[in-house]
Amino acid sequence: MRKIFLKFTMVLALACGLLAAGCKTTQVLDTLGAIQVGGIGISETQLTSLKKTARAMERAFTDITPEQEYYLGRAVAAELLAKYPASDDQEAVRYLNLIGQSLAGFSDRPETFGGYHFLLTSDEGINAFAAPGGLILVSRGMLRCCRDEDMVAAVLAHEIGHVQQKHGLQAIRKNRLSSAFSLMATEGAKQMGTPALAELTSVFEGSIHDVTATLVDSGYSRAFEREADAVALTLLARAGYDPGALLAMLAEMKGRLTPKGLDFAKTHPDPAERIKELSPLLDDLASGSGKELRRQRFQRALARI
Amino acid sequence: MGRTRIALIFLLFFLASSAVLAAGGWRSVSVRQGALRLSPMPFGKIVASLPYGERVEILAEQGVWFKVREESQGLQGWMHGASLLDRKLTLRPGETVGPAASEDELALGGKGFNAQVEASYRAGGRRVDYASVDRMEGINVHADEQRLFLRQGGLLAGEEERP
Repeated sequence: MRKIFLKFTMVLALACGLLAAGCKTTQVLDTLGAIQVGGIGISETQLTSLKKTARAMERAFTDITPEQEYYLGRAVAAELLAKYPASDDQEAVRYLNLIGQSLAGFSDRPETFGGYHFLLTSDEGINAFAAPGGLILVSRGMLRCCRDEDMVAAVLAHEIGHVQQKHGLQAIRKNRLSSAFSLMATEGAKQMGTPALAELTSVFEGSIHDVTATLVDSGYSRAFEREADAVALTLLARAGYDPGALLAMLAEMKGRLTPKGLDFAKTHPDPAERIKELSPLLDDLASGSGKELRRQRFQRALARI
Repeated sequence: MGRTRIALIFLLFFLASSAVLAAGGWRSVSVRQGALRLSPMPFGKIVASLPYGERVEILAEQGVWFKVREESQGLQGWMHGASLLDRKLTLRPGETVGPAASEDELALGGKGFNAQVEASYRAGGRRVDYASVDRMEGINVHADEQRLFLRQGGLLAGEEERP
């Protein structure tokens, strides 16, 4: 019995070593299964059990899959839209999507599982939210700060930055995910019925809460906002918009945000600070041209905002 | 016994490392509609749209773009590297992680947040507006309309027409 345990430990240690070296544990164990299992003296049952343990470990090391990010994002957006109702201004929404897609196409993550989609919310506060996976909401109050298409693009580019960098997913408490992973790794996972589904749903709810609470109440860290701003400048420049529009937008917001506001005033760093940090980055970017070409369609699409 | 064990450990390391190297040749599409483009650039003409989990063979690499051949029909084109995963995905979207799922599907396909979990979450009576989310996902910009928007706005439209 002790001998079997020793062998078991040895194989597990070997699997850990390979995992640390960047190999996929399951791949290693499949290899193990492929060569004569009897040769190193562990039974089929033990190998199965070993595979499960290793798989649970592997899950803890990998990211949330694109499909799971999609379902999380849908739920986050569904909660946000219950709080901030969608506007039915179809022309404005169409315009937002054209600008948004123009920018997303130039991002380092041009496609997501369900794609990027943009919607206008009817609230007067200065707000914009990015749910994981690319569902982006912009408030009417935010659009009212924009004097041209480039400023709208600056807002969307910042939100695409949060999606590209997966900031939303990083707001989920790590212990929630590890409990989901271990749940999936248990013996019961094979017959995942009502209790397992209920537990997984509760982990899902908790994860949604973590993301929405961050978006609506606490805000991201300064580092994440800085990262999204930097991505925004890059996207604006790549697409041919004026990167300076982000600074113009921040200056406009600075004048409009009220100190005790429940919108960007609460969840984002002071615009003046963001401007100070971004200014040096602008020097290396082309200033963009053709604003005049975009003026007419901006006025037409957002006239009723 | 001792020698057999050492030999086996060496064999294992060899097999594992060669498996990882070989895995570089194939990737899986990690998005629901992965654009297979004629040229390696944003808004390049779309040859086909590949589904989540589709296996593609890597033929060439150019910056963030990969020239690939898809498995089912042998179509070739360029895909952005961010839309590809270097592991196999066995679960297709919409399939549930229920009693029918095999152990391997669980391991490779999903950690559990899927349509089944969404349905269970929605049944919980929370204040959510999924109707607007569905409407939002239904907004799609056609490639031609997108190119026209870029061109008319004096924006960089890629150079998809270049031979």
